[in-house]
Amino acid sequence: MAAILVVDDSTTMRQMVAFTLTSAGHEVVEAPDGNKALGIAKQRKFDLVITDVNMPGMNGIDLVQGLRELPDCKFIPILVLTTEAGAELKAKGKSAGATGWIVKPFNPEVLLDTLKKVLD
Amino acid sequence: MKVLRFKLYAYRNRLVPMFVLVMIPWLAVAPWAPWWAISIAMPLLFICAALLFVHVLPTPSMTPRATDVGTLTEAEVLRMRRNPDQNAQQLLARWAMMTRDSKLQLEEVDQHVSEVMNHAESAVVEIGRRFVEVTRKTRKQVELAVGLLSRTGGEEARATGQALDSLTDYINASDALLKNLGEQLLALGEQLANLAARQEAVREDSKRIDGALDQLAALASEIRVLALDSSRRGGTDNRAFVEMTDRVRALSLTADESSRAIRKTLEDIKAQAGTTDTAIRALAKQARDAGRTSAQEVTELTGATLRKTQEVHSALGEIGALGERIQDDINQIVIELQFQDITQQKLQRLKQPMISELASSWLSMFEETRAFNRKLSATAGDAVEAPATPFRVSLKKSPEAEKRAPEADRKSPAAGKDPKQDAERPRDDGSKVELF
Repeated sequence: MAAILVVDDSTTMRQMVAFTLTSAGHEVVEAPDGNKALGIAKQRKFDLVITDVNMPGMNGIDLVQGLRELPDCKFIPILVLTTEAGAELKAKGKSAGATGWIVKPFNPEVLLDTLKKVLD
Repeated sequence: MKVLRFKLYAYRNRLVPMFVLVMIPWLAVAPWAPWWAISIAMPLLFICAALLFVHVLPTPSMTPRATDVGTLTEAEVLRMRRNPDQNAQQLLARWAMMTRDSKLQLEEVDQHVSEVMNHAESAVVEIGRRFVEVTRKTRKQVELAVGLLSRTGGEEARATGQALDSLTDYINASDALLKNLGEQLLALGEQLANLAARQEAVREDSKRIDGALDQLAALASEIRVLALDSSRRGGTDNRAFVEMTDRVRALSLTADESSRAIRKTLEDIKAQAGTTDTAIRALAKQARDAGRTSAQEVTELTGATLRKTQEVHSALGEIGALGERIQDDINQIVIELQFQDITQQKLQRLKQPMISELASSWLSMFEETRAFNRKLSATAGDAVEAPATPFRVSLKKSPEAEKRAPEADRKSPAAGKDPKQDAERPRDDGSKVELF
């Protein structure tokens, strides 16, 4: 059981991820964009963050950088869940501090396996 | 003739529907009309349709619409060049009108796309919510079903602190109860058998009493004989002795009567004991048989129940396997819904730039036309003497037009004359006004 912050501008996608995670017994907090996610992350601790890249306001890469600057989020795993699969963007994400990169559409089982790996 | 041509051009899209409408009444009546009437009516119909088109249908406004092909005759181009400013203003007005119409259309399209996206979003959210509910309910059902066989009754029972006994426990308890009943019946049978044994002992005792009574009777007879002998030997001398012998005789008579009464009573007891013994033996046999039957039935029942439990267990296993398959299906649905969502996101990202691009395109067309207007005004004098060439307005640059462009530039009186004016000509960005 882990506390997970899910960041995506699409309500449907957030619900999909939240459904998958809550079914596995995790606690999920949702945020529609990077700025709100950063605000939530400042208020409480999370065990893991899953974020999209293309979002209004602050994008996913900037959010990863912002989260890494927070003391509570410095060492937690951050997964990027996006439709983008370009090597350049992946490199940007990695240098920003992302732990993993999952390309949409995700398989719920694969997502849960990945979560287990990064949480262990 | 020119008006007729224009009318034909203006109504070109409606001619076929109009002709069909005119033909419908004729076609409706034709099956019942004689052949000569049809042969007369047919040419009349075409004549009537032609008259209707020429004289009844109103002539549309001469202002061309956005969808019209901007091809003009040589005379019209010459006339336009003689009065370029006025015609260019007309052209600008047409462009403005076209842009306004297009803008409205684009706004409508944008609204429709947004509505579709909102509908899709709400539908998907609703589907997701329903799936969550279904999964929750299914999980609860499985928990309850498993709770029948496991020790506790699921999360709900745990939450309320009420631990329900499992089905197996119930079966075991029932088995123990029935076994206990069987054992009790067997014990009862044993007790009854013991009772019968005791009755046997009573019968033996009564036999002994019977023997003792026989002896008592024999004794009484001897006493009586003795009393008679004593009285015969003693005579009448001893009056006291006689009285004594009388008493002994009376005593012996009493003892005899008593012994008879005892015998009679004992015979009654013996008869009753025999009856009781028979009944008790029958009862004991019945109880023993019932106990054996019950024990056998309980064992069979327990075996059947355990077999049923195994069946229920395997059925629950199948339910579990089905649940896993359902989970796989749901995973697949989740993936499919993501495809829909990703497509929607891409469409949303595409929508705004596309509309902006269109608006920019129209704006550049407007600017291009304005530049053309300036150029036309500047070269009005030369244009009057220039050879008449078709005037074409195209929204997109066709390959044919691209091929003709250099030639047109060469032929144009403006080409090469004023580089400054050439520099003012807007660059080609997909929309273009070409002067051939």
